[in-house]
Amino acid sequence: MNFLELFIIAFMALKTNKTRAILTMLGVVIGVTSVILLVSIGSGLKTYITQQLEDLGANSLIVMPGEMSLGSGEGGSGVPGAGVANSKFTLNHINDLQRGGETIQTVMAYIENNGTIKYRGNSHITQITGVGPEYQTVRNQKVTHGSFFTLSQYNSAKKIAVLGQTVADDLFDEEDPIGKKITISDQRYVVSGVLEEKGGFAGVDVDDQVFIPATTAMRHFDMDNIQSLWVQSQSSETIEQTKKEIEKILLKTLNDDEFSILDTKSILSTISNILGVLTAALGGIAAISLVVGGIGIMNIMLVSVTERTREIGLRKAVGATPRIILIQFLIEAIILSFLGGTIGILLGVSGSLIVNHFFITTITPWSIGLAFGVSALVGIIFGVAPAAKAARLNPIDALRYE
Amino acid sequence: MLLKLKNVSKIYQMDSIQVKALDNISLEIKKGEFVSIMGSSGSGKSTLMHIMGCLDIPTAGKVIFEGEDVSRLNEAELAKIRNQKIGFVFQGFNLLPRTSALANVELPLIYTHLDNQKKEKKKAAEILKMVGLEKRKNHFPSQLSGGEQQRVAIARALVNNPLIILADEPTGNLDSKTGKEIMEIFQELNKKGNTIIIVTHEARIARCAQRIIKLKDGKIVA
Repeated sequence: MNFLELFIIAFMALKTNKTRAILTMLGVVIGVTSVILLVSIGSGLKTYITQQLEDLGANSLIVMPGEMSLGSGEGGSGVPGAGVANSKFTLNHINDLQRGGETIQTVMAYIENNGTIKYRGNSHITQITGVGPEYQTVRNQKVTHGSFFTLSQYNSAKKIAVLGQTVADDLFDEEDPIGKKITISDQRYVVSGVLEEKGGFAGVDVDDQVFIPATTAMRHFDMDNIQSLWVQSQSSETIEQTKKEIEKILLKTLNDDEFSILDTKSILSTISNILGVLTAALGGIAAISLVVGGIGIMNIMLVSVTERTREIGLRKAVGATPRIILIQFLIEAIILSFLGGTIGILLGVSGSLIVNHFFITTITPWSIGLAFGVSALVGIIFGVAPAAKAARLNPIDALRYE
Repeated sequence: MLLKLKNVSKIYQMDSIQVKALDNISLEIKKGEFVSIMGSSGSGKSTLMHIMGCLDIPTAGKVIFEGEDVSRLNEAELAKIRNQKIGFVFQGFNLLPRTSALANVELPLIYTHLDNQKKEKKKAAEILKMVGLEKRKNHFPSQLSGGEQQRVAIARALVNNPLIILADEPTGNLDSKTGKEIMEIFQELNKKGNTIIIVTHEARIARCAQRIIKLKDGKIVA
């Protein structure tokens, strides 16, 4: 009697009950698949957002209106763009910062609004973003077609628009948009360029935006103030100093509760924390289904012990020791959970590869390890009780069992 | 002396009542004998068979198998004796469903430590041939008649060259003609030197044996 033979006996027993074995495995398969898939989506999201924020540059700072703190835990109210309400920033602040800061490289105004863009019969409702000419370098954004607006166009608040790829496709189709006249919320603009496609970012599709000079935007939307300021420090090492400089300059004209300075690092760590928790929570929920799958195995194995009472009695009568019966049933449970785990890994991995075509996913080895480990453990733990029950059966009673 | 029972008693405790299934039984089985144990239901004949077959141990008394006292062995040790020295044939055949006749015959072999599995498996096919089922060795029990199933069960009992074949109502689930055929197989086996014990309540079946032990209320009456 060797292990291989026991394995064969267990395998044959499962084979004689194919449907039941497959249905039992399904619980584990679904559990493992969902752990891997959900964790890969969660960590894919994290990777993607991290990457996007890093694109923004490690030397970037965003000055937002109002009091806001990120990452420090005290009343952290979240994400940039939330506190548009009472901005007190003006173009003068930008000039002050540009002149006054030693480590400040660029300062850019940032304004958001919504508008309807029309070209001939086509119209498109989207976000109108007012920025400075530095936007290209700040966001590392290339122009595929035409050009971005220039500093002089910015200073004279010309009605010039640079379109995101989605907007350009929607309005112009095959036509060349450069130099064409469009209307944005009933005012006429000239298209000067089309931006390179970048893909969505934290729910905002950067490609589905129209960029105009911030100066133009202020006039167009009748705004006295700039929503936020994008500041670039000379390098990532000078970030802290730049922060202090901004603070010092702005405090001359503003109260300390009228602005807050966010650096990408702290935004990054906050978002990263949130997504980490989210991923763990998703994994946890999926892990519950694994445990449910395990209980399914136990249930089936227990039923199987009852159903096969006579078989167990016979095996004992012809010489199977209690230990061998125990091992046989344990092996059956382990085969179910290992096979289920393996199929689950294959499905989970191929599932996340498929999802990857629509939404970035990252397959993490720990989720595979965790899912497989838990399924194996579940098989052993939930297999022991039925196996022990089978091993304890008295051969005489078992043989008589009807 | 192959098997010797000395003052064997078996008492079942059912709640507060004690049931004496076997009461001070002593008997001897010689090698090559064909013995019937007869009695009505409740006479203790099944309990006696279980104890002789090492499926159970007596409450009192000794069971001596080939000079070895087996009445106090543990479950694993009893399993080994059952595997190597005893062949069982049951009333309900007790074949594994959805398993071929040949695989059923081979079943005891997988619980035996064997140096030459292949040779033993070849033997399983030979025994199946001996009971006249070589053409049906790949059939499942559900595809076989009752008589054929019992012949598979007999082949299984023989596969490990047991010292004793114990049959518990082997014809109980068969019609009288098939039952007669099965009994002829047992007689044939006995002629070849096998020791056979049959438990039955039918006098007609019991008469096939050389010796009849009659049981009543847990005691030997004849």
